[in-house]
Formats: sequence, C-alpha cells, structure tokens
Amino acid sequence: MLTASVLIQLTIDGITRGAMYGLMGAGLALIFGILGVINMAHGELFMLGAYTMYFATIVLGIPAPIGLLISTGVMFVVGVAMERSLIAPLRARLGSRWLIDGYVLTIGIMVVLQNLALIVFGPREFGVAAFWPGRQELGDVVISNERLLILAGAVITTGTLAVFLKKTNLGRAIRATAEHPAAAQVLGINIERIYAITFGIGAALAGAIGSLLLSTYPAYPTVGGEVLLKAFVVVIIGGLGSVWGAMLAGPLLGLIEAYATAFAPGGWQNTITSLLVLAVLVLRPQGLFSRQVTRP
Amino acid sequence: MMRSLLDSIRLPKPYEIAICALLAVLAAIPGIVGGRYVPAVFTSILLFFILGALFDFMLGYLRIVNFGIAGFLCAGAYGSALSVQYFHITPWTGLLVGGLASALIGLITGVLTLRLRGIYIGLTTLFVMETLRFTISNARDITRGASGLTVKGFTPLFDISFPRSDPLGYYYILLILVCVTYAILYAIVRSRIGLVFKAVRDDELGTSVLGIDVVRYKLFNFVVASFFVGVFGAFYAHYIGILVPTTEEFGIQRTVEILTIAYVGGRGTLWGSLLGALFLVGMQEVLRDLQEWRLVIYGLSLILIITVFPSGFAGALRGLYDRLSSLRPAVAPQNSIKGDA
Amino acid sequence: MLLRVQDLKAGYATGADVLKGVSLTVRASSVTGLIGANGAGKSTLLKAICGFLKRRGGTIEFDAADMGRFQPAHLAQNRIAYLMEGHSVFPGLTVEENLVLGTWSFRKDRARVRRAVERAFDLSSVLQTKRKIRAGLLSGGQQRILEMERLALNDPRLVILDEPSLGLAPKLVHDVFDRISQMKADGAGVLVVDQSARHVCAASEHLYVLRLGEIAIEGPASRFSDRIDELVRNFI
Repeated sequence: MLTASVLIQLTIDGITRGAMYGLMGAGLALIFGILGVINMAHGELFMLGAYTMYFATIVLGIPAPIGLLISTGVMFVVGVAMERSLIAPLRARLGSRWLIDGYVLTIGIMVVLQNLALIVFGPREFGVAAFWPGRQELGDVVISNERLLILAGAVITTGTLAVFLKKTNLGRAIRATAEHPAAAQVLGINIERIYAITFGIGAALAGAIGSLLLSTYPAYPTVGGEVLLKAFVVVIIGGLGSVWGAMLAGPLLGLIEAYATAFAPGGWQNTITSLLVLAVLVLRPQGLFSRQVTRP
Repeated sequence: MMRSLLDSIRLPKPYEIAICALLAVLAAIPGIVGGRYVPAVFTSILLFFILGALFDFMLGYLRIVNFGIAGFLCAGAYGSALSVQYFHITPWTGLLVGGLASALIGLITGVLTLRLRGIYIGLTTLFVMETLRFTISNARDITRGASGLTVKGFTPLFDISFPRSDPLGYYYILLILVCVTYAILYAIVRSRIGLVFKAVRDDELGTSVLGIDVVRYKLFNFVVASFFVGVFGAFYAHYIGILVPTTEEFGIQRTVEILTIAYVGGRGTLWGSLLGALFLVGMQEVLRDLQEWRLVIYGLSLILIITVFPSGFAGALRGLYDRLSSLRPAVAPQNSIKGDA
Repeated sequence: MLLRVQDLKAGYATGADVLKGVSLTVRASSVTGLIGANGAGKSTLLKAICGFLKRRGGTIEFDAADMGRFQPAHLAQNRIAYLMEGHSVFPGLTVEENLVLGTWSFRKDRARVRRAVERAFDLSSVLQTKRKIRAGLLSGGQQRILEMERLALNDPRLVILDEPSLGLAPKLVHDVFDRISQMKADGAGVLVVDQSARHVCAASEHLYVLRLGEIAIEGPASRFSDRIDELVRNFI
C-alpha cells in the first residue's frame, strides 16, 4: 500500500502546497513584524489576487506569466492603499495602544472585501484549467506539470523575497525597522514609508500566490478564510513575526497535512494541525524555529 | 436646606434610564404583538446583546481578546445537546452542563495562556474554536457532523410547556437568563474586583507592580465569561433545534458578529452591546431583501467605529447625557469610563 | 553656533513639564557636557532636541535655522547623529549590515558607502573580526562600539550622545571618550550626557548641570575640573 513511490508523491505534494503556505505566512509575518498587527484580511488579498489573475488571463487573454506580474503589482498597490488610508491614521491616533484595534480593523476590512466580492462576482467559482497541462513520469512517481509549475513559482518567489530582504537597501531597512523602529528613524529611514511598502509586499505576496494557485483554488468570495487559517498556522509554528520561520514552517505544515491525509481518514488532518498549533502556542509560544525567547 | 435636598436628588444615569426603558420594551412588545416573527427577532437581539456584553466583559475591562468566543458557544451548545441525548438529562440541567463544559475549556485555556502577551490569548482562543469545530465535524458517529444534530426543546417546567411552535416561551426563558447574567456581570464590574479590572485596563504593568496578581483576575474574568457564554450556547441549542459546525454558526463569522456588536455598542460599558445588537439585528431585518449587504454593513460599521468613532453608541449617548446634565447646576462630575480598550 | 536651544519646555504627562525652560548652546569642533541627577531631565532634553518628544515652548536652532517642525526622520539628512538611551543596534542584522544602514542618507552613492564602511572597519579591529556576526550576539561594549561607529558614518556635524559609557568596563569608557574627541577633531559639535561626571568634565569645553528641569550651573569645563567632587555631591 505505502510504497516508496507513494511516499515520494506525498512528499512532493506536501512541499509544493507547503511552500505556498510558507509564502502566505511570510507575508503575514512581515506585516506583523513591522506593524505589529495581525492582518485578518490577508486571505482576502489572496482572493483579490486570484480574481485579478482570472480577469487578466481569461477575460483579457493576457499570457499567464504577465498576468501573474500584473496581479502581483495590482495587489501591491492595493496593500499600500489599505495601509495609507485605514491603518496609518489609526496608528497615528492611538500610538502604541492601537494593537487590538488594529486587528479588529483588519477584521472589518476582511468582512467588507469578502462580501463585496460576493455582491460583485457572485458565489460562483472562477477557475481555470491548468496553465501547463500534462504530466511528468519518473518511474512510478507521477507529477502533473501544473504542480511543477507551482513548485517552481514558489521557489522563485521565496528566493526573490529572501534576496530582497537580505541583499537590498530597502530589505535591510525593513528588517531594521522591525527590530528597532526608533533607531531606524535616527539613521534617516522613513518608517512610515517602510510600513506602507511592507504592507504592499505582504499583499503582493498574497496576490501572487492567489494567482499561482488559481488552477487548484478557484477564485470565490470566501476562499480567503481557509487560506488565512493556513497562514496563521504557519506563522504560529514559525514564530510570530519571523519571516524565515514562516518559510520553514510552510513546507513542514504541507508535509504534515500530506502524510496526515494519507494515514488519517476524512477531515481529521484539520483537527491534527489545529491541535499542533495549540501545542506550539502553549509549549513554545516563540515558535519552533525562533532563537530568542518572546517577551511576555 | 432646599439646596441640599436638590443636590441629593440624583439624575438617573443614562444607562439606568436606557436599561429600564429597554427592559420594559423588551418584556412587553413580543408578548403584545405575539406571532412567530417578532419574538424570534427579539430573541436574536437578546442573544446577541448578552454575547456582546460577555465579549465586552473580557475585552472592555481586561483587554482579553476572545477571538474564539463562538467556540465557547459551540462547547455549551454541543455540551448540552449531547448530554441530553446520551445521558438523558433535562435541557434545564443542560444549561448548567453547557456552561460548565465551556467554563472548563476556558479554565484550561486561561491557565495556559493568560500569562502571555495579549495576542497569544487571541490566537489560542481562535484555534481552540477551530479545533472544536473540526473535531465536531469529524466525529460524525457522535455529533452527526455537518448533517446536523437535532436537539430536543425545553421540557415542561412548573406546568408550563415550551413547544417549538411557540417562540414566545423561549423568549421569556432567555429574557430571565439574560437579566440574571447581566445582573451578575454588573455586580462584578461594580465591585472591588471591577475596580481592579479597570486598573489593569488602564495600566497593567502598574497594577502588577502594586502586588496585585493580575493573571488571577484575568482568569476569574475569563472563566466567568466562558461559563455564561456556554449557558447561552446551551440555550441556543435547545432553541434552534439543530446544530451544525459551520463557520457561520460556531466559527470566525459568528465571532465577528459578536465582536462587531460589542464594538459598535461601545467598549467597556456592558450595556452598550444592547444598542449594538438593536442596531445590527434591526438593520438585518430592515435589509432583509438585501441579505448580501448585511455583512458589508457589519464590516463597514466596524471600520467606521474603529477609525472615526471609537466609543460607539454608548459613547454618543454618554456625551449627550453629559451635555444635558451640565445644564443643571451642582451635579457631581461623572466618572466616565474610557472606551478605548 | 551649531545648536542653540532657548527656553525649551517639554514633558510627557499633560500639565507637568519635565523641562522648565532650558537654554544651552553647542559649538562646532567642541564637546559640550551635560550632567545631572537621575530624573533631572537629561534624556528628555535630548529627545526633545531630536524630535522624539514634542516641545511645548522655546526654540531650537540648528546652524542658525529654526528646527520648527523637526522630526526624527530629518536627523540624518541634516547630519545630526543621535545615540539614544539604551541599545540601538539591530540585533538580528549582522555587524556589517548595521554599518551599511548607517549610510542610509547617502545610500545611492555606492562608492562612498563602501569607503565609509571600510573606514569604520579600519578604525575598529573588533568590528572587523565580527563582521558577519549578528549584532545581537556582541557583548554590550562591542555593541556600543558598533553604535558609535555607525553614527559616525555620515560625518555628522552635530553628535548627541545619551549615556555613551553606561554599563561599560573602565577600559572601554576611555575608548568611548577617545572616540568623542576624535569626532570633535573631525569638526563635529558634540553634546554628551553621561553619568560619569569626571569623564564628561575632562572631555568637554563647556559644561552644563541640569537640576529638576532647569540649568543650575554652567560654564567652561576647566572651571569645574578641580571642583568636580563638590559638584557631584551637590547636584548629582
């Protein structure tokens, strides 16, 4: 029953799916690390990215790679606009006491976006056929081309994000602002701009993943809910606010899910992962991969 | 003499007027109008009011964000429904069982996470809710999962029977439960314990430096709130008759509804949630033909409240009252409770 | 006059001014010392000058221009360096990354960035050996060296230091004050607050003593050098 090829298959599936979770989580962690707010509307950014991709590629007939770039760009702009119009004024008004209100605000945004999508697009699913049909066979292991494409997309996006954060001036400034905003300001970094850009990047990541996954997760108004939960899981396992932690936790979650589906019947893998999250929250609130101990 | 007599006459506080008037209205109208529709709407208002008040009891006083409040509702509902079905207790005992089931989960969650930063309690309760919901969906043999668990109605008590066909009876059960619960919450908030709550809300570090065990107060608050949420979950189970573990019923969407009512009503007031519930449930009924806009309005009210009008309806009413009372001479200044938790 | 503060009032709680009208000046190529007891308002004064605290009255002029709506983000572009209270390295970034961020205000000029960073490494062999190490792993003294080198990177005209020697071993305290003299020699005006009154007095041209939000005594540092114990007894 459980042959080596099945195991390989499961592993590839898990890592592909997990890389996506990791990227969703990375965006969420980036926003949390910089702004200190849990973006409850992150799933809706995924949803909007998916719709944008659908309209770019199917309605307007733009080739998929360009469609991906367009939807990523559009979502970056949406993210920046959201931060500037709603989140920045709240932060300015409440100072350091804004935390709870900040995430309740994003809940409001989540509800509005979700139901506006329902009104505008209706409940129907906007899906697409695979961007690259067909499959590859390596001995007993069969992988669809689409899955390979998604895996490649995930690897490229993860790599780009890592290089951006590690090697560019802006990336360094973002990490510096997360660690010590006042010191960053003293060095001349405009932290308000960093806040907006960071939110934009988080949104762009969510949009890019929504676009990449369009063939597996069609666009529909409440698609964000499930995705948000996965992103949460990843961010908690990886440590709140840790981008690298999220990127590692993503594939881990993907693997756990893939194996759990194989061994546990029905929907029990959901129970298993949420119990795992609770265990991490209680036993290791700083996350599995975090070096420093969290401040209580 | 005349003067001091005048001073001793106290203008009733705004929430006292509001509560008395609204209580009278709440008690009378469904009885007078009768039928099925009006009592059902009023039941909905009362349920959302008390859940909003319980949410506010945690958030508005101790800054505990219970993102999983719908999970505690779920624990109470299934706790009572399953014990009635398998252990043959009466639904009346079920109310207590549901409350205890929820309180137990609250106790465990609280002991494990209330000492951590505020954000952890939010995330933990969220995942407690999801774990419960997933488990209930999966344990089909016991809970019937997504196909729904049918629940018995309340059994006759003191020769009064409560057939499902008559929602008025259920409404009065709820009204009594809500009044008792509200009175207990109000008493706690007004007591010395409530003073500590307010001190913690305004300056948690400062309070703990005074030698007050903040975590114990938080735990007390959290467990009390969990218990009552469970009781109302149990009531809901026997009232609605069928339970399904969806996000609309016992997941994030229900939490968002309750949270919106607490925020729109005005945090840190308890009674504000009544205004929030009246407004949002009322709006839902008025906009019946525009169902899909209902949640957009929920979301927009939340955004508006947070960005423009943080003290909610309660704050507006209080402002109006302060202005009215400032027209009268020699009124002692009110201790206004800040609603900016 | 590089920096001129006149009748500055500022505070945290409404109605309670911590600074009750402070005036002081800092000249280019000189060190100005500021000492005072805990709670006298030294850090508050520096925060108010740097724009981290809104002032409630008085004027601040930098290079004869009014710093009316001055904000922290304007510090670097005016070549004002500020060592804030406590630690201010970015612990998760490497030593080198920390230094590169010190060149943010001229980041487009890559050649200059490289020159400035290499010069900092030349000046400090400790940092050179820890180049790729995360700054959070450095000792407290090494972090302080990193902070000092980082703030020196864009050739500041005004250097404002809040307790640079706090928590350092005696040898390192000397190094820090040597570095301050070096900055002065490079033409900067330095305003230094420190608990080590003796070192401040020795390094400064001009000395201010702050007490309860007001300047109690001021004058050329040379005037106080033999009375420093008395000064500490009376005011600190």
